[in-house]
Amino acid sequence: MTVATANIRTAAETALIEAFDDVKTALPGGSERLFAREAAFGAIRANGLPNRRVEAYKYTDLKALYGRQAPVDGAIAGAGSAAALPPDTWSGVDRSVIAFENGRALMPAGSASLPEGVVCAPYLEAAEATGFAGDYPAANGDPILALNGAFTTDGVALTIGAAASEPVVEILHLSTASAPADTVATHRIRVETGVKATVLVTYLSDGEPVTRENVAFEVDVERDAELTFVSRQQHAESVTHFATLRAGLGERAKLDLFNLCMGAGQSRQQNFIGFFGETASVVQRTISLVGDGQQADVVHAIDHRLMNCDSKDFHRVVADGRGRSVYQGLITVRPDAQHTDGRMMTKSLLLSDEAEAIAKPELEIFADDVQCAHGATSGQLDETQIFYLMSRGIGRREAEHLLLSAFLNEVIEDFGEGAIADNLLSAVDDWLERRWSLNEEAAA
Amino acid sequence: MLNIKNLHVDVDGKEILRGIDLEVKAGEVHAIMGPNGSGKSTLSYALAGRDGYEITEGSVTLDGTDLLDLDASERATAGMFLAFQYPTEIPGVANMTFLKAALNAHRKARGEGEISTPDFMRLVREKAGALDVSNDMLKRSLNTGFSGGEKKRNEILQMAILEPKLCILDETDSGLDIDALRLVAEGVNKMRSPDRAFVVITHYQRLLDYIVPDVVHVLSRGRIIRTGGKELALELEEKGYTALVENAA
Repeated sequence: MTVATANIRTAAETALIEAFDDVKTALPGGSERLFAREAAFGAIRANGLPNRRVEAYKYTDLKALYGRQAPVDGAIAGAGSAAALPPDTWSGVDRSVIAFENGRALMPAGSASLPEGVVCAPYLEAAEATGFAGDYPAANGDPILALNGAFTTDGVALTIGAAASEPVVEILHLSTASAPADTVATHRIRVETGVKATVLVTYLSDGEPVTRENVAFEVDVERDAELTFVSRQQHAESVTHFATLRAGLGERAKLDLFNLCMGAGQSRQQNFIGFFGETASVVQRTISLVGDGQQADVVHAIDHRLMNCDSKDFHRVVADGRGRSVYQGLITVRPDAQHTDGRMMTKSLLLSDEAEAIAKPELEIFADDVQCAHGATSGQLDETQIFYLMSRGIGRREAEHLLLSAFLNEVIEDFGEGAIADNLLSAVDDWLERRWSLNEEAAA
Repeated sequence: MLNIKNLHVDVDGKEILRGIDLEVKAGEVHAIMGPNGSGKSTLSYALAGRDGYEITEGSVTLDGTDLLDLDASERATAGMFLAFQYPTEIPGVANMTFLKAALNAHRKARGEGEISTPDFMRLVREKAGALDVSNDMLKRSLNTGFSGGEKKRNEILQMAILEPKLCILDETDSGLDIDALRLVAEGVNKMRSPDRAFVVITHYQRLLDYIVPDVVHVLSRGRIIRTGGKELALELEEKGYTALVENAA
């Protein structure tokens, strides 16, 4: 029996399509870009937005999110000036900063002083000039990516070539819009053959901006190249934050990812990673700190397409109040990807009776000579350990702090030592301190 | 120093201690002996302030301070120390980090500033050397993967660094070989002083050969049924608990 289905659009979807049709010609870029925008938006026109019955979007309810507010170009909300930039986002780290306010570059691409070997161009120009030449997973049909492709207004294309010392570049996204606004940016990073580089991504708010942010990265780590990619999201809770990373690795390439997610009322970090060469490796480390009323959705999909590649995924969560963490991890091993070593582990600590940690680790294995493992744990702080620490004079607050730091810092210490790790440690420390202050205020 | 009057303690709604009276003066060492299930560990946890040990009646003071009004950390900074029978493993918290946090908590309670790192290192090195606690043990996660002997030596090291007024040793001899027992006992004896008291909880007389008590109490079914000098321990070793418990019943 054939059942005819009709896709009935909701008011939110209709408003979204109308909004796109209204602004598409006013958005930056030429006719090729408009074609690319239409192509990306095609997924939304055809399928609408996913409802909560769509597994991947069960916890990020795009229909509800766009129902409340149709897209508004961030530029309309008014871009600020460079004077508004926070003073030191990565203290002690020698780096070049490329800053965006409400999705728009604060200075023309190329004008920032860049390290030797790094070439920077506006994303929209680079995308039209070279097409999508890099290797990274398509993730076609993902609605957040479709919205990014349709509405993107700015971004950078970084090409990182050989240099005497390893370049470190920070991409800073600052939200300041006090009126409802969508900030949509797309970046491309290419790390050339044999080159080692570090990219830091920082998401911050000034005040309580009412921003819906959608940032996407297209990353190509070429043969024998190594990229360390660290993102730290500390938005105000008034912000809704989506970030998508699509990364492809060439032969023997290495990608080291760290994602510290501690802000935004609702956030979703999507990493789609594919191996396009043999013997490559990726390590993903994520810390989600979720306070009362926040939701942090983490979606990781690793595609083992070729032989001898390793992937590791370590995810740690601390959730408090009515905070909710979601982890959806998928390792796919294709028939040609023999000798794959794929591992993922998610561990959660719930600090209140109402906090939630939802974990969905998945393996799809089509090759027969592979090693894959996944695991998930969740629990509370161990009262026996707290009592032991307190019996030595350490107060409850410090005892909890010691245990939570131990749980979280293990992932940072595993990532490495130095100024970048120190910044991550102190951000975690600040969150733990703030959590106590908030809980004390609530109790008072 | 320690004054316990008519202490009743419930665990999971069941009365375990049924009226303990105990007075320990400064400078004294009291041993509490008794068969399994007599309430020895309950007494130590109730004194240390562990959750789930409900005091239904009675009072406990340490140098006049009402301990029952204080949480576990406040009891510790008031001068109480419990050496655990089974020290808790805490992965990820380095032993040194923990020792420093504990010492600074005591200093803060006394209104002193935090100890400087060189002074702390000097103090730990001096105390650790005497107890054969290696640098490796100090760097590792607290009690994690320590052998039974290492855990107990680490307990005594904490005691030596925190210098409490009252030390309760809960079956510190369990799981120790003879050499380790001697080392631990030496550590304890070194700390004996006219202004410090000890309560040593044990099943066996053997520990009391090394840490000689002034007073021995026998605990049975939640009550102290007999009190005597150190010779009481020898009598117990010879006759066993059963005869004594039956006589008391």
